[in-house]
Amino acid sequence: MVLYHASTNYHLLSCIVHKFAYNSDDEAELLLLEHIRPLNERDEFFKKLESFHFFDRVRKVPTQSFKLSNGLALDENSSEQDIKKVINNVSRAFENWFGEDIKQYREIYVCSDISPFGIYLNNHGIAYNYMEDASGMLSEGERYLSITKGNNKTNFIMNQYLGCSGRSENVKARLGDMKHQSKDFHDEKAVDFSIYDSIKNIIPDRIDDLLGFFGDKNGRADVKEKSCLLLTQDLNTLKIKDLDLQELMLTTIVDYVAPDYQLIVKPHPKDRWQNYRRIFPDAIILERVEPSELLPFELKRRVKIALTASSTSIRGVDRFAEKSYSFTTEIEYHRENIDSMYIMAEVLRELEITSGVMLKNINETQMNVFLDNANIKLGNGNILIDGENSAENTDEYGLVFLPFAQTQKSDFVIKAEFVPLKHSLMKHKTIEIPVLCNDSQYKDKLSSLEFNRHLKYTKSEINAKIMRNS
Amino acid sequence: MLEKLPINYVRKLYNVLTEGNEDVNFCCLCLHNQNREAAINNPVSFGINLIKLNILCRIPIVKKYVFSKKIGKNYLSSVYVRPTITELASGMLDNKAVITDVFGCAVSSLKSDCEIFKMIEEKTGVKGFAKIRRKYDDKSQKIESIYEKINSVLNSSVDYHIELDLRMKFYIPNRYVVRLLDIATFNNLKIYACVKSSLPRDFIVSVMNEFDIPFDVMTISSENDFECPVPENPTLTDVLSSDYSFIKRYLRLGCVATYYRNPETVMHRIRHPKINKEFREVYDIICGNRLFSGLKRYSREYELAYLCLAPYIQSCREKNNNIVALSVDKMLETASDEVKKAIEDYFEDFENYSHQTGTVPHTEYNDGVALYKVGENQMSELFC
Repeated sequence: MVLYHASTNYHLLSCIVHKFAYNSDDEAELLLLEHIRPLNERDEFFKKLESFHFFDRVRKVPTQSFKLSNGLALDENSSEQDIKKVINNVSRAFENWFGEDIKQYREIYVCSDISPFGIYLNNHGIAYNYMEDASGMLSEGERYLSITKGNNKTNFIMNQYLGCSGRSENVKARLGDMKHQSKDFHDEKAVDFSIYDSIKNIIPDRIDDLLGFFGDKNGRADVKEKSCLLLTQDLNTLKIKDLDLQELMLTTIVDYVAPDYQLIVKPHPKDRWQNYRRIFPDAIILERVEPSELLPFELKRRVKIALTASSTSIRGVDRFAEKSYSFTTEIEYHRENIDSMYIMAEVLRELEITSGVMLKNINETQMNVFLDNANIKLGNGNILIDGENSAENTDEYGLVFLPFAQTQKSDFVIKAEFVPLKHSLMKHKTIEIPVLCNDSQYKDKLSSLEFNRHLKYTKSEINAKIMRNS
Repeated sequence: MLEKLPINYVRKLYNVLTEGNEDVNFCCLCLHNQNREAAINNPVSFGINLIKLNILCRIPIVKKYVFSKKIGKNYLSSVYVRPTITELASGMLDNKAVITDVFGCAVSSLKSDCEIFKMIEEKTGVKGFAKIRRKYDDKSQKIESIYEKINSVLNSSVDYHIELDLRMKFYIPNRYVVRLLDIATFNNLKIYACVKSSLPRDFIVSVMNEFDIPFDVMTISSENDFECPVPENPTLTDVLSSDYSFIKRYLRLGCVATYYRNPETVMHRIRHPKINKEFREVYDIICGNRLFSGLKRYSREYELAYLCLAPYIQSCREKNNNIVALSVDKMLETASDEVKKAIEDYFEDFENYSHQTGTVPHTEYNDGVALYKVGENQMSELFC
């Protein structure tokens, strides 16, 4: 018999797919944390899960009750004695509830070992297999830890002490999608497990069951050729825990990257906090609880663009999107920087300039999104994005953009006024971007350039013009 | 021992301890939110503190001193702590419906009814209008009927649309509450707007639309056969209001209560230094909405700069005191970004208030000094 433990929709899908693909002959039990669904949906969800018979037994873990057994709140100053006390309290509470002999399970697979079950296993030195929290997260341990720290300090302290999040010596293997880990990732205990590949190559006959359980009850979405899939995130995983900022971040990236595309929004399963029907009234809103890993099997065709602010789920959808764009976690700290990047890319697009350009002191990944989207090819030294404000010789480039420059000699200045309309979250502002022009063929073009843009979802207008610097 | 109790029983116990009256509710909520982890990890100790608050908040003389803090002396945002929107919404989404009374909660007014009536009197030149309008104010009557009576008594022809236009001008949305309702509607909770008002339905709907406030069903007290909605499933209905008497009606039916103490009320209860009454009214509206709506939790230095330093700068500028202005500018050179942001926000908020009300609130120099002085000891920490 094997035992699985899950907390989120992604985990649940991982466990189901892994069970079908690698333990199909074994009896399997599932421990599923109760907060996977809110209270008013919980009973129905668990009944549905049982009715699909993915597992021989499904048990709902009452995590809310376990919290009451902690006995103490922990923080960075807590003594080792206190930490051990709380660990023992949680471990005992879980054991009393569990009531089974853990040795009866041939293998234990744990998604989210930062849970009462994980604490119990590590406290008793019981070996288990760790499954990554989301696609590519094995190589993003620090990011994952900082999210968990923000959610619950007591849990975080216990987990640090025990080495949870897959770091403990009790972990036999760490399962994750190797294609989506960072380039320099290396782990001797890592074992490749890809949900997509498993479904496609090992258990294609199970796709209907999976879609039947997780899929959109409205049926498969009718995707047009020019379509953009927007993947959102749970606010609690972002650095900025501000709904207005999150909304502004999403509307601006859609307006900048896919202004005239059919928009399909896939909310993160825990993203219950943004009203996407209001924010994107003409978009197709997909079922929130469906894991995005099933989208390749759900949508009727590939999308042109998959877009996200900084969600790791973008890695799972690149198979069915012609292009995928992510703005990295830096967008959470400095959303306003992409306003300048958009303006610069639009200037290049308007002037049809595709080479001999330098963009100084800018986030390369983010700028690449705009350039790629504007079909401005990179590489071969034609366009240089200088991320560290180095002392590159600017004379070699026909145009040098200097956004965020404190004081800098320049030939031209791009002035872009952002004018919010009714109900917009954008504030009225004017951006000024100095430009050095070393190529006379551009000088005339620049001085006559003016353009306007209407940001539909951000509900703003941009009025931009270039002025000669006297 | 407590972990052996069913979680529903623990929740019921919590509700019993926190629903005594509006002060009990608000203070218990603040206590809970000051350290939610401590509350859940050590529920017995937390329960004892809830019982203490329960007792203290029922004693008339004592209750006004419970959580009573002073501007400048205490870090107020660490005391008057609301749950974050997502924390509050998590609980709300366990339900199937929300009932709210809108005005005073999702929408507030920068001017009171009396001030608006006075403005109408000044605008129309009809003497005695304000007094008569107050006299005939009756939420069970439509505004058209009220104005008919007034016009017949005063022998005038004042159009009620003047009042509607003025009211619309002074309404401000509470973004925290609006966001909550937005979340509710996206998650398919049915929203009942139960409005106690003599204003016309189409006007109230236009106010809701103006601020993007969602609702499914609206009942208005001045319409025929008015009845506050009775929820189909009371135990799965959340009642959201700033009026505790409204909430109590539904508590008796078994509904879940979300009492939202108006940010202005929070400000009123905080101990101020001696400042001019007229300035204080405006100061409380602006500071309350910025600092205590629940939308954002500000740092201590932001709060201090906003409440004490910014009004002082404002009063110096109004007095045209160049010497003081220069020394303040010099001080600000070494201020942190938080402090600068707080001052920028304060002036922006005042400007928005002026723009909306058409008045420029005057800041007496003495008021600025009084506010600066209460925070003076801690002010040095704001500057490098």
